[in-house]
Amino acid sequence: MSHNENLVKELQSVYAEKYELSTIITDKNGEVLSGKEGNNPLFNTLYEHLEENLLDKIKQAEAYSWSHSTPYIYDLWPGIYTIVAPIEWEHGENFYLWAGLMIEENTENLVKAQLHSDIEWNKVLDETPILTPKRKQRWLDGMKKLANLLSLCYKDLDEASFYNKQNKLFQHATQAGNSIELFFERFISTHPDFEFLGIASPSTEDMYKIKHVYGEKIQPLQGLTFSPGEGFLGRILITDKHEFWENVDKDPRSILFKRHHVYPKSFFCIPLKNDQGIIALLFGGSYSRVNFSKKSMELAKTLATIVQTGFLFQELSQENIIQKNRLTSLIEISKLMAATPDYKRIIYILVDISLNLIEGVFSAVVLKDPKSEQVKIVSRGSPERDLGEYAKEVLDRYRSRSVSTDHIEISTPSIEISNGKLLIECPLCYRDNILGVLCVGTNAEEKHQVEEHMSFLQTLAIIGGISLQLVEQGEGSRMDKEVDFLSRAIEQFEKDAYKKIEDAAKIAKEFSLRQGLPLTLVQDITNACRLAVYSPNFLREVFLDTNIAEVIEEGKKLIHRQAEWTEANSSAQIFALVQVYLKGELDAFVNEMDQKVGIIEEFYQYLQETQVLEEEITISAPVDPVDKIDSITSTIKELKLSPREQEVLDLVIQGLNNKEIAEQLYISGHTVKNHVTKIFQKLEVPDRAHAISKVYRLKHSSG
Amino acid sequence: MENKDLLPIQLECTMLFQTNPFMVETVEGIGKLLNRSYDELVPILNLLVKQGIIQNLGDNENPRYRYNEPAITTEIDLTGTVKKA
Repeated sequence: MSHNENLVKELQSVYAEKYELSTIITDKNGEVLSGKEGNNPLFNTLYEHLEENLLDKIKQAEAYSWSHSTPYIYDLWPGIYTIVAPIEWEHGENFYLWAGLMIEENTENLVKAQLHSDIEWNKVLDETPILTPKRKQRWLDGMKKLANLLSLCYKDLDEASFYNKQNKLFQHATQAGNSIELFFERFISTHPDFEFLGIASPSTEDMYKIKHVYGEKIQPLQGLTFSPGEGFLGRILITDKHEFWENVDKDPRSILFKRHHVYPKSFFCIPLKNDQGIIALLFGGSYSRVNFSKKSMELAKTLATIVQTGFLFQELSQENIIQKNRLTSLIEISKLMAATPDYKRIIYILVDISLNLIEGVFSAVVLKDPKSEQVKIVSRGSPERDLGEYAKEVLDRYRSRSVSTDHIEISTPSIEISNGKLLIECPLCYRDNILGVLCVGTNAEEKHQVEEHMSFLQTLAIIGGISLQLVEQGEGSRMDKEVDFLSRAIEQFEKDAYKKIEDAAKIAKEFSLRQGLPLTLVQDITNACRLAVYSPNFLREVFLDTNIAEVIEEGKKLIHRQAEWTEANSSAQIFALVQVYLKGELDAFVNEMDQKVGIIEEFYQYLQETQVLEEEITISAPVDPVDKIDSITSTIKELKLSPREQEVLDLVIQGLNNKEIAEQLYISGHTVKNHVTKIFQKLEVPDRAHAISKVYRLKHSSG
Repeated sequence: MENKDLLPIQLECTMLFQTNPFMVETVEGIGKLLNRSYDELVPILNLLVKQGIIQNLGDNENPRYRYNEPAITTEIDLTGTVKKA
């Protein structure tokens, strides 16, 4: 028994003693809430010997239908009286205190006549209090006080029961874990005020959809869509506040439900929100109860708070997983950058990963050569404007930032707008130097859409900046310095020879770039021209990871006719052509060859264009070598070659010899030779040079 | 991005192709290298093709993917003229 129930008993007992009455408490249906207390002889005799009879009389009493709020006298049998005192409880409902019994003076015989004859009534009736006007008022006043006290007890008791229910609700939420279905089913089974529940959430930009329903006879509403303002649910989307509707069956807004044969009598809807606004609607109600008690409303609100918290928890968990994924990815990227001290790879990682992340339309790394006023752009996609102009603008902007007196942190990314779309720019810095800028074009039009990516991109750019600087300080620049040192050593002994070497390097670089060769190959050919006087074996010792020695060796074999021109690597071919050209022996060299097309023809063309107008630099749109490679790839695809032959031809065009192709494709040299022969047959060409030339011709004629 | 859960696989794929720029591989082959299922990889590979990070050297029925190097634009003179590569 709870503390409050004990108090009720105590009060009943004290008042009964004081007024010589016995008391019981019932609800509005006559069901006993608190049993008999007191020593009234007539009440107790009737209660103990004829209990059912007395309680039946109390149950059947018409007193419940009277709208009294103060105690009154009521006759259970003719001449036998009790006081009925309403105890005020929740929202208009009452409990009832019955205090009796008493008889009127000189009515003992009359009373005895209608009672059971087995009992010695004379003694009982002698001790029964007599109802006199004076006593009557005293009793009524006393029972009024008792009813008031009992009312306070019951309200308190009810409050405790509500908190108990709320506690149970929290416990169920914890036990149900992520299963909203289990949680709602328990709620419905333990709270009869609610017979159904449901959740609606956004389905399209303007429409909401009932995604889940729980309880009986509510299934037809599953999948129902509605717009803001439509019916009860749509109204909440507009008002943004919870509502509890009563007598819903008479409300015209219930038409949406009636159409689906769902007929609630009471209905509530509570918006579930996060920082951005409404994320879902929780609704529910009853088919039998026309209204909600205050406690039920509070319980529904508690339920909504729990569900809302659950949604936020899910959202945060999801966000946490994403952040964890990003962090893991960032670690992998950092590991890759640290393990690959390769300038080109780092730039590629920056370009590709940023495009991956943003799902953008364009990404680029704009790099400025610290020794000259030139920039390099490594890009994917297009910024929807001239790439060169854009790159220049970006560098100007960041150059001014680095000298600006504003206290903007140098590595802070910025957002620019280009053609209405946002472009994120993250400087690649090392200390106070800006080495370049990572630019990512997005599809987003508003800042908040890209904000979540900013920190990741900034971190990527910071790691990228440091990695680039380390590579520059390390291998790349060391090799450049050593090549420079060895080549300048020649100047000390033979000034003219040095000039020729520099000329050779310049021509070799320009021509190889024009051929669309990868930058590493261009670098090898250029360096081979600068170091041609050294023996390949010496160069192999000095430069372990480059092909400079091989280019010189194979190139010299070509010059001395010790190797087959058509089988040679394009790097060696270019080296040989440049060397013989500077010796003034190009024509003689070429005349001795059977074929004068392909790379040779293009070399002549290059010489005609550049060496005649040596100082004139063409001002035209920048040629994008990878576009060129791309279009060559697409040209290759147009040829009637098998996919494998296409790959082989692609690599042939990149200047790889049969051995290198075999290594790249993990096939034998013999197989490569077979593929190459078939390619020659299908293209109707005699050798590599013709094959390359044909592809370029096709490309130009189609482009 | 919408498919936030796919980001790690997307980055893994990108880094695999970057590390092996000459590799030409089928979906199954990539699956073995990354220990990923066919269904996980197909949407990612399609996305990477769309972004131009890889290219399909085969056809739609028998796709074979290879890394597609980014465009390296030739040197541009900051004074305004553009040099041809």
